[in-house]
Amino acid sequence: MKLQLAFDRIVDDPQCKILINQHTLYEGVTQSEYTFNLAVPVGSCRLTIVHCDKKPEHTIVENGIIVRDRSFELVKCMIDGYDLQELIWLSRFVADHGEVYNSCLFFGPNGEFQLDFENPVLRWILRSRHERDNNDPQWEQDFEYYQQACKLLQLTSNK
Amino acid sequence: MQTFTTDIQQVRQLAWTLATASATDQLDVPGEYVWAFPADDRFDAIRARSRSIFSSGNSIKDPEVIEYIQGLHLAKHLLNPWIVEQFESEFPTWIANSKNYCLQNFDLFKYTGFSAGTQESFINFYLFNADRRFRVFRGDYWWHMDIWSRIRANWAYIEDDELRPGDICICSYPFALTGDKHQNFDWLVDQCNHLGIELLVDFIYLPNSMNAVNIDLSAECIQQITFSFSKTFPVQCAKIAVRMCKTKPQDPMQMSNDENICNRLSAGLAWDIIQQFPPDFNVKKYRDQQLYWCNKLKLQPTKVVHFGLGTDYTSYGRTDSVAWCSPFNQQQNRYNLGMLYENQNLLKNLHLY
Repeated sequence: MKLQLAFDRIVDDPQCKILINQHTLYEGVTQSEYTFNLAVPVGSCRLTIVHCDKKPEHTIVENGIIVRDRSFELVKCMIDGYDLQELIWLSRFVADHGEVYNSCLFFGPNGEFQLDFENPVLRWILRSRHERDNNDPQWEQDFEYYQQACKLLQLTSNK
Repeated sequence: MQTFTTDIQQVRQLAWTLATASATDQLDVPGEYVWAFPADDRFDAIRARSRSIFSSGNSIKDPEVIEYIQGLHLAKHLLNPWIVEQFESEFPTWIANSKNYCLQNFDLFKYTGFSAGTQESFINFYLFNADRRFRVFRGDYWWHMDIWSRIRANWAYIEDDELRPGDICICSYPFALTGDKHQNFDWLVDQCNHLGIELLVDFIYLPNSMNAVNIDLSAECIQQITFSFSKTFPVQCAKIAVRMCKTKPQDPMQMSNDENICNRLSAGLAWDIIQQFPPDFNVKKYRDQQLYWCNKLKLQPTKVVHFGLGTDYTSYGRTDSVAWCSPFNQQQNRYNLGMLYENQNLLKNLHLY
């Protein structure tokens, strides 16, 4: 699996940890872009992005207003070349203090962003979009045709 | 009577395979348009292309013709002031030389003009009849309706209103949608004669047709006829067509002919092609293939060798418009089988043939 992530509005070197299932891909100061290539078994997957090590002094408040806050924001997630686009909102952010924020791409408090999907991701994308919009009843058949065509042509080109 | 229930599963499998092969550059004969190449080999791009695999009316991209064309030295025609005239003088004899159709009183059309695709002839027809109401049958070449709508011309489908004096008609023969004579063509000719309405007959698919066309061109209403090369030979973007008229036209296209400023490269290419290939080249070469694929996919073979008729496979599971390129392009039941013919080796290797 190829995983590409892009972050924006990175303030004051926030620490993060990126995992697929239980496998840690990165740990350290948040960068603006990442690309990972890894072997992932077929089936359920979870992308976890942990925001950690944020301390109270990383939030500067003046006159009751936050004027600077260590934080960052996830702006793009691509898996195997497919931009998840709006499906990224199927995620949630579980803050360490116990709150759960659905569809939250902002990493303010310590906690972890979780996105559950499936490998291969294309099948999950097509199914999720159809479940949400109910406008692509042929997605599964077309997915199979696509897989079949790729397989057939791969075989031919390898001859 | 034989019934045809299109094997949609097999059609879709072929469409997906050819679209994917197009993206991965594995076709025996690549496409001729930008839109024939998926942007990448991702699902969405392949899916979009799979829906247009059997669309368009363009010619079979015959490898033998392509090889011949690629071996030509076309630039020499630029130095030949007579090349357009040479092509125009030889075209009528060439096109008439087929036993697959009958053009009675063809010799009444004494004025042959090179046309930069039939679209140039059509534009001139629109221009010189701008004060009339244009009429076509539903299913005819969508470009007419699209252009008329864009230029706010007065037009109506023949099915939607009776023919009236002041109308002017266009009809393809064989009819674009069905690859056969339109069921009301004879009626249309009679009505046009009776009401003094001109009828442009577009012989767009004539060379690729078999026993579809038998027409008496002496009918008073038929004053001009058009022929396309790109539906017969893989010269889509060379813009080669011919217009023939009973009386000498007085329009911009004729002026280009009279001025000797027509595209000599295209006219030269056309001339080279008619020296080498007879008009029924595709019919002879591909009739068996047409029957094979139509039988395999449960399509109805048409009288135009590169078409079959069947159920629209592109509408499955779609809620958006299925019309390709234009809302007036409602030809999804007509399958252009060219890609199946051209990519025989690939399909054989994949055990899909």
